Amino acid sequence: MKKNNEIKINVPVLARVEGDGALEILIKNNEIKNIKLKIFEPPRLFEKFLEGRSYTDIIDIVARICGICPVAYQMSAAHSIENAFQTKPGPWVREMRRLFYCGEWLESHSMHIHFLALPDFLGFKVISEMAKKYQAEVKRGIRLQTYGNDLIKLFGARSVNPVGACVGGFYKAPAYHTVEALLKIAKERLKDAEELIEWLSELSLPDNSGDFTCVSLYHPKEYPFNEGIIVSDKGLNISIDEYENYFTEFQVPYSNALHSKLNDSSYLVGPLSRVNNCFEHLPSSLHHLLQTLKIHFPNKNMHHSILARAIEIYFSVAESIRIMQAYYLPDASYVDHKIQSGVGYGCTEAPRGLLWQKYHFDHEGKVTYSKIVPPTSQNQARIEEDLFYSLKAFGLDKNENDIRHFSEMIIRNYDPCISCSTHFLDLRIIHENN
Amino acid sequence: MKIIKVIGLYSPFGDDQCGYYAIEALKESIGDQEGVSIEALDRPGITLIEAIKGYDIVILIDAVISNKECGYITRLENANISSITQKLSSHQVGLIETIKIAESLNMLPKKLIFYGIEVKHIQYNQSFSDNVRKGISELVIILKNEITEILKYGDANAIHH
Repeated sequence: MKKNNEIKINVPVLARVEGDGALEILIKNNEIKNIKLKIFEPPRLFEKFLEGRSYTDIIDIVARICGICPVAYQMSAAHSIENAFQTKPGPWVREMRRLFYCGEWLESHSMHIHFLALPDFLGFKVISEMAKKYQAEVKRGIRLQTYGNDLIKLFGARSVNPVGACVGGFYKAPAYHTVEALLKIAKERLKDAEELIEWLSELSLPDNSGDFTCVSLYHPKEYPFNEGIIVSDKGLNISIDEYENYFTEFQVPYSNALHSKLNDSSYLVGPLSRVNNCFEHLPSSLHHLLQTLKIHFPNKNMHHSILARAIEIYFSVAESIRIMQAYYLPDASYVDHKIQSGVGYGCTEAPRGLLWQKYHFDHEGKVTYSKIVPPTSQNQARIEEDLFYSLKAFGLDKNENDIRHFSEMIIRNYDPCISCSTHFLDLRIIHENN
Repeated sequence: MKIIKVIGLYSPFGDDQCGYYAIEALKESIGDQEGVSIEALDRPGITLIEAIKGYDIVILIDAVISNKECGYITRLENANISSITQKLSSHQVGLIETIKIAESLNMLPKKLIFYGIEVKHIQYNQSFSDNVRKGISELVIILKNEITEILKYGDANAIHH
């Protein structure tokens, strides 16, 4: 609808992301003056109503922040509580938490690649149409996602808001025969994961390479899930309890979500950052595969996030095999803990990136303060920056449908998790000309 | 031998648990039968396709809201199932879309049957309506007969012509 020199475009639904959001672009004299990405952020409410609750409630409550990445919230919370209570869960729990996380990465990344991102790159508006043409590929994606769900169910009894994790470990150790059965499936899924990378490497993905800061956990011995220091590819190297000294959150007037900056600049968290920062810790079989396919990292092309996710799918399958091959029944599935007052920090790698949590506890183990920083809010500033440069390169003289579709594709590269929102994406482009 | 799979779809909230309780009641009623697999799935999303793989006949049970009396049983078959309009969820691929994708992948069973148990609304607690419970009792009798006929005659059409 044109009125004078003003053009308004409404996108009622931002399709194929978790949750809903709104985007507003102000263009003046054919230049982008302003981009506002509006995301509703549920953790802000959770932080407040956790206050006064016992530490025993935290793990199950924070799992409800997101239906797609509950394991991540539970793991960051468990580590925070154990940090405050100075509890060391031991090697069995450590390995099982990695296996638990393998399940979540598999399930989340498979869902994103096959049902959220690929329709963009292959030119389909409806997934069922894509499934007709790419039957083998979609079936493979469903197999991988199902395997991820099965790993989560192994510990959590169900894949949606699993209930098996607790402070110190898990309520129950999986039976040996159940692990054996899953191990057999895992070995079949490794071939699927390899073929997924091979297939994606043949797609013509656009290039919007730019200079941005990649932030992730880093561990000296392994590809990170639950433990490590926080690093960037621009020299950051800090322990997780120093997070607030370097990362600042601030309110923007147009969004319920807080934005995050690192030394006053935007930054990226998520699979592309992890692969860029921790490439050396991927298994050698994966290095060999990528070398054969001429896929190189570090990589600053956000459209290659889909490739980074496929790489992490392969890693998760391989890692799950490693852990299950060495599985044994422990004497106890969790360690005891002693409640004490204090502050605890937890930082783990959710499928979408760094998930940082902090809790203050009183002497009864009740929460007096909590802070939860999810990956999608950390990526907001980076998404807006990406939209600015990418739209400029794309051309602002394109028709409104094309601009809308392109904007959605840019946003989807970040696999934003905008859970629990009740609003639809409303894309508004305002043109102001002299 | 994979002939029939009965799946109760559910979430742990209020009357949306009816798929779970239907499966529990059915298991108690018919026990183990060769060729029949019975399972309750908590919000399986797209992975439902893996759960139905390889079966000749699949029976799905779920809560529905269609302005009928609470506990009312609706039966739909194959193409008529897509007449169900589903509330959009931004978290998961819904049942109807999953069925469409399964169709695109040629992974639908020879016959897909859907039983809806009417509920009034979904409560976000553990409560469970008496009328829905009564509906489940009726449904179990229907299912027991239908499964018996399928195993005897090889086709659900034997009792639904």
